[in-house]
Amino acid sequence: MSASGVVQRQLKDDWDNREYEQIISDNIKNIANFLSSFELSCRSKLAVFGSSSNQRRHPFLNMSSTAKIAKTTANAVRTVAPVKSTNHKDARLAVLQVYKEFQRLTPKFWWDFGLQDMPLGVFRAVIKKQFTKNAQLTDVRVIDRLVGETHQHMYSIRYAFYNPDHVRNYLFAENIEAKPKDFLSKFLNGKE
Amino acid sequence: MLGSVARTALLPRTAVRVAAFSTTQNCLAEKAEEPKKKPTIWKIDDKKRERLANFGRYAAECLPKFVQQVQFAAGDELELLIHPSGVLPVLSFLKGNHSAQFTNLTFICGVDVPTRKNRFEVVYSLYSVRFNARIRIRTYTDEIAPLESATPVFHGANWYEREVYDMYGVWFNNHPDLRRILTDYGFEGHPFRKDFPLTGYTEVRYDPELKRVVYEPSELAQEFRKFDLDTPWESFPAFRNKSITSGYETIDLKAPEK
Repeated sequence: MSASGVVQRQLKDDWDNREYEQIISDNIKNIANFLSSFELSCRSKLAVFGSSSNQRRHPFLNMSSTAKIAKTTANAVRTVAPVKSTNHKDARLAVLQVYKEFQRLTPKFWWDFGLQDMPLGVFRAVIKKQFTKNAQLTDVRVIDRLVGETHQHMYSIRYAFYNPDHVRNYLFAENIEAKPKDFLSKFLNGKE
Repeated sequence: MLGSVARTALLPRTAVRVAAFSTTQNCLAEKAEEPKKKPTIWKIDDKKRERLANFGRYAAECLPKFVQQVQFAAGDELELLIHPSGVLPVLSFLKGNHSAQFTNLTFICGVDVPTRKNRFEVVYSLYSVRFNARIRIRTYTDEIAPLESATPVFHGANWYEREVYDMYGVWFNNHPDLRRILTDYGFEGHPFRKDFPLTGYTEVRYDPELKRVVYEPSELAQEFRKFDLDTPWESFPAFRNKSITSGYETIDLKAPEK
């Protein structure tokens, strides 16, 4: 008697919960729909973002949009204090000077930081690339600032403030995979 | 004769009146002043404030090329707003002038206001041990324009300027050793800038293949997540309609007429 009563009660409960089950399954379907649409929009936005951020901007120029607007409008008439050089020729001379100084330091740098897994010539080319990657810069003040920072880098290398790990991370970035360029590899990475 | 009679007649009465007056006055004064004393609230010394204002006028008169404005912040804190080319002249004037002797450099710090044309502000705070007075010098710069280093005048400026360089990226010319001081070598960006992302530009992990710690561009698992960290309550409702400069009081550079 009692067993049949229990079964009856369970049946009744199931019957009562029928509506809830319907509601819950509907909600789950809604959530799944939303998630798939969200993923689609994310992918498209990521693709746009990835293509726009392919060329990496210089860290100095990473300022907020408002400041950038103020700068671009003000640039035309603004006269600014020079960092060191007053014209483009001076800045170029400063770059060449610091480049020569860096190349004179290179053998010591190469030896002290345990970079002998590559020949010295290759390492010199790596250093040169650090300079040539900023070749497009035309603002004298930015160039001067970079020259100043290069002097600081050389100082830190001479006095071994940097560790070999810092140097390897900075110069080679071996662990970072190159961004996919053609369509197929983008697709395989799930970007498109 | 008449005078003396009159005096004897008057004296006791006046004396009594004076005594009564003075006692009531004292009581009244005590009652009036007692509740006014609030030890937790800074009491502004008007004489000292006047002397500071006079000194501000004097400094502005001596350095008209560099001092753009003289003002009081928070009632009695003297501030000189100067052109960025005048850092060294102003600091050496304040340190060397006999009537100032601001020989102690309390701090140098930076402020970032991205909406301004010159978005960074650099603040120098000085203390005069001789006159027990403080002064702040504020100047401005942008991402690239350099300031002259204060180290020839104050040796203690060395690390403060390194800190400002590290946190905001303000460049100081002729600084003896302008390196990062708070962040690691190889750190990317300047963390106190308002546009520095909360997650930073890079993240760090140990790479078992390369057998060292490597830096990677930081990636959020949820790209489009928004963190709303603002409090839902209004922080300072009493200052809702106040201007941001309302706490400052500009000092008129003409001497007050007497």
